[in-house]
Amino acid sequence: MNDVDKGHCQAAVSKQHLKEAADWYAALADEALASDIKQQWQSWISASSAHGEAWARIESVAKRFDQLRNDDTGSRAPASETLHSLQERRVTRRRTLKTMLVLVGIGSGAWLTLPESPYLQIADYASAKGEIKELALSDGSKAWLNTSSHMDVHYTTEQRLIHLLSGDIFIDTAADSNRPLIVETSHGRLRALGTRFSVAKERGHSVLAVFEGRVEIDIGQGLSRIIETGEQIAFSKGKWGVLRGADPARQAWVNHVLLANDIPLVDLISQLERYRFGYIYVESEVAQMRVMGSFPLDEPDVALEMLAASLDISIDKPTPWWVHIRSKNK
Amino acid sequence: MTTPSSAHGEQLHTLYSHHHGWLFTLLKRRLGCAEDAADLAQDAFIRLLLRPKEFDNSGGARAYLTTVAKGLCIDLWRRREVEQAWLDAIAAKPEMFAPSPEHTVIVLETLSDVNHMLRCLPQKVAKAFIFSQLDGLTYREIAVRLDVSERMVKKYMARAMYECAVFELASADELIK
Repeated sequence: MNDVDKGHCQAAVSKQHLKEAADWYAALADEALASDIKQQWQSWISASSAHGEAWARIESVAKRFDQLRNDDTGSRAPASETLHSLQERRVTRRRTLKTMLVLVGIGSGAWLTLPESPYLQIADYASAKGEIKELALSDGSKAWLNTSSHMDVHYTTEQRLIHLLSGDIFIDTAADSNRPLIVETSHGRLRALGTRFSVAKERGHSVLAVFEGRVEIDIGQGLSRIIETGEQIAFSKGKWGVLRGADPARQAWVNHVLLANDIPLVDLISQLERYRFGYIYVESEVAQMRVMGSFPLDEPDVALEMLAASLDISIDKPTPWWVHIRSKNK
Repeated sequence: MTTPSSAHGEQLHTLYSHHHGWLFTLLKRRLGCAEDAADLAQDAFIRLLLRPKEFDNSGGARAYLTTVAKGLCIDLWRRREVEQAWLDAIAAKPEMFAPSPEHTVIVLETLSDVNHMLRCLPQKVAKAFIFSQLDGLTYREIAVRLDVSERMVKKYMARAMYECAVFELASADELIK
């Protein structure tokens, strides 16, 4: 290598460091793991400049994917399908060859198998992260699936049953005097009496908010009650939460708006995180700041900018998927 | 004054006049399309322009250009495969508006790069990576889809990230040499 080239190579990275950096990435990329190890990760990074270099390489790979993931023209889903299908094809090609060899050997078509579907069908309806999906059900009812939500729909001649597996739905029911509309979560069974309401399956409980009409809840153990327009209640198997006024935010997301009515910043951020890839870390000194306003759910990063503009906070993005919020005065 | 770059330009000019003809013929035979062949022959020389090489004799230049051209053919086929998969994915989504040509070019470029990085990984490793990076699934969700443990998903992620980074480093290195 001549002298001219040397300058370019100063950032040589050892494979060992690259391996370590990749391990950190894998640990940080899952929200469930990220919060516990953030400190160790930062001390690893600052332990040596070689670590920093290695991390920069990992980030540069991550950026390639960010381009696809953060695409605002709706190309993310087909991009994902493209990559999955290219992966399937690789295997199918090899499997076809194997199958052909088997056929030559045995002379039977029974071995011929179809390639697996690229997606495991888990639920009838699903929304991706950040997606708010509007669905027209066969009886004329409308349903909206909030971000990362899943539901099954079973309509029979006797009843219209919707099973909420995860996330939130908002339902605007069509009147059908013969068939009740039932929404089930693992925490209880709701019977709509011609109405608009939202159901959210949250950690350990579900929440019903009624915006029009009435909904009857049955939570097992002989417990049931009717929730009226403008009321909201949390429930789990055999347990009621406190009855309170329906939170308008539980309806606003249908219009792609995140509504904050004097809530702590940390709560707003945890809402926003549901729509955004990556992890947002809120320092405790700003976590309890009160926030009011409406924010665009389709553009969580714009929402972050709006927050930065109106509160005394600074928002850093050391990596696109890692956001750090702290006090501006520190 | 003769600058190094103009001397190099002269050398390239000589190489072009000596080698473009047979290279184009070779590519046309391999690709079955004069347009593609002309593009790739052009690309091979652009590569020489960007990464100057000294050749002792005409045979050395011929061998080098043949290797480069073969590599470019394979790249082209892979890009076509990506393009086809992309078109299939779009066709399956009639509700999606047609992306603009400029935008499509950018997405395809990125997809090709990413596919290139992933194609040498075991399938489950690659899929875990796509599930996490593009589909935004949690490790728990990925574990269910791939029928492995969450711990394994994390291992897959680390491996995929490592291999991709090594791949990127290797291609960057190649650019410098």
